[in-house]
Amino acid sequence: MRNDLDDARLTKAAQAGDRRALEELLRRHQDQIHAICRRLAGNDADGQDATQEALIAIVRGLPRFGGKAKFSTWAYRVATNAALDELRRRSRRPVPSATDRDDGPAAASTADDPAWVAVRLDLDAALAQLPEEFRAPVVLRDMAGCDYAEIGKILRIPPGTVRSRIARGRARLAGLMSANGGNHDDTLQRRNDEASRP
Amino acid sequence: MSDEHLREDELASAYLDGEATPAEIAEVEASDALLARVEEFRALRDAVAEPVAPLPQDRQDDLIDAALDAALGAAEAEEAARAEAKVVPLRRPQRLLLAMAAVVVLLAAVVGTGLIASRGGDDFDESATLATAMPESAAGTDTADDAAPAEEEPMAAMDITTADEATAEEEPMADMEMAAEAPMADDDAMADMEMAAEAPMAEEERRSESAEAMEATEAAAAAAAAEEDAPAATTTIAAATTTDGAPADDSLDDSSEQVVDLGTLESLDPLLEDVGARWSAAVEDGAMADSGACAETVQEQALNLGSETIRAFVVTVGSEDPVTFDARFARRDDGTAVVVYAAPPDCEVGIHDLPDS
Repeated sequence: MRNDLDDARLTKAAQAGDRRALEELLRRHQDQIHAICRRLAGNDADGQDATQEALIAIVRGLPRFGGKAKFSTWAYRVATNAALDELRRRSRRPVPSATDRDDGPAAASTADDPAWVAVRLDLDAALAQLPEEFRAPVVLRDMAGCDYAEIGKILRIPPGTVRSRIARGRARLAGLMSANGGNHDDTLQRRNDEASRP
Repeated sequence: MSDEHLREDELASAYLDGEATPAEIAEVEASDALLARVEEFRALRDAVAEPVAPLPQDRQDDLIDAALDAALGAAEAEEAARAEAKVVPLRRPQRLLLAMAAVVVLLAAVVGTGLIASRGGDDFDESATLATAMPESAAGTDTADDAAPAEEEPMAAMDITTADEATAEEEPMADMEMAAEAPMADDDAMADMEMAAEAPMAEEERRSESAEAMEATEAAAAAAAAEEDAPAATTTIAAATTTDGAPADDSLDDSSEQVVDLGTLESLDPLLEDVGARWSAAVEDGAMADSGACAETVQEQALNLGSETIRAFVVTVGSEDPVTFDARFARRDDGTAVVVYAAPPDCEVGIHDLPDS
């Protein structure tokens, strides 16, 4: 709540021309914006491109942001659209090979667990195969932690549709994970157990 | 997948997300199969939720600096371009409208006759700006008579700028401009766009007529400016760049300049305002990241028309928070012309026939 209040104050200041407020607003949400873009785009290079586009769009669009929604909701919508735009642009470009992609930091974070690295790679591949209509709500739910109502606002679809798409997205994701990389159930279950351990 | 499977997945997923109803929670917890599906989804969720490694601090700084520079730089460039266009708002009373419009149409036709004719089949090589300023309230419905004098009433602007597509960056707008205005009556003042005229004219004749027309415009403008109770609406046509991207010279009759014929612009006014409003709303709520997002779609659609002549222009609607979108003017082989544009949220393409074109 405090964060939202601060966002509102920063937004007004930024809209009034306060560059420091604008910069603070961007810094505050940059990690989450990048995370959404990275997950939706599927690799670091496109994720960073999308993040850049999203940040530019946020700065350009801020004067027209009316404050009806939370700044974060609006910013995530901008980020989601920027990432999906990046995907569309990418679909018109040659697909980079695995060696062309700069996935260093993300891969390094899980490099201590080869099985988990395999899961992550297969998950990225599966997410990339997931249609946009399913990928975006799944990422916004699981990555950004948005509730169904918020996702509905971001994607401009009813919460009931959000619920349905997330379910279908997860089901497809499970199927794709199996098809792409075999059975990761053990690894996923182990991670799950570790995560739930006190 | 059967409907039953879909329903079970939806139950398991909603349960996992804490979005299930009490009855659904009870149903899930009573079923081992559903609970197993919940666990499967939980594992996937945790994998998706695995934090993305944050960008290095210097990269974060670069992205933010670049965003600030790009966005704020674009705003400054746009502001500079507007200033450079030397838009001259004129005000005049209602009774001068017809005479004024006649002068403007004459001037546009005179200038356009030579300019467009001399441009022939060159596509994407000119720039021009047409700006209409009008009361900020609902699109084209306010009457000018109700409007306050220009100094007291904020005005919205609608600019149509043809762009040089060969050079992605904005060319400096320049040189030729004429200003006139029409009151925003119920039947809407501003107008259809037509990349003017047909018959070629001798260069000297054009110069002479252009100069006379401009003098007439200025005289009428001066008279209008003297009327303090005049409605506030402005139309400005500013020419811009040459084929090679160099600024056009100062002469009204420079053959490289693009001309807009106000006589055919009237039907575009409400359309462009409506599309502009949709863009503004889409950008405001983030549905579209950028109002330039549909530029490629517009271009593709214009090319699909198979027209001989295609002109690119951008439309800017609004004065305080203007929104800009891409459009194309296309003339078909049979002489008819259309304006192609796209609207959010899905770059829905619209093709507007220019009447009597």
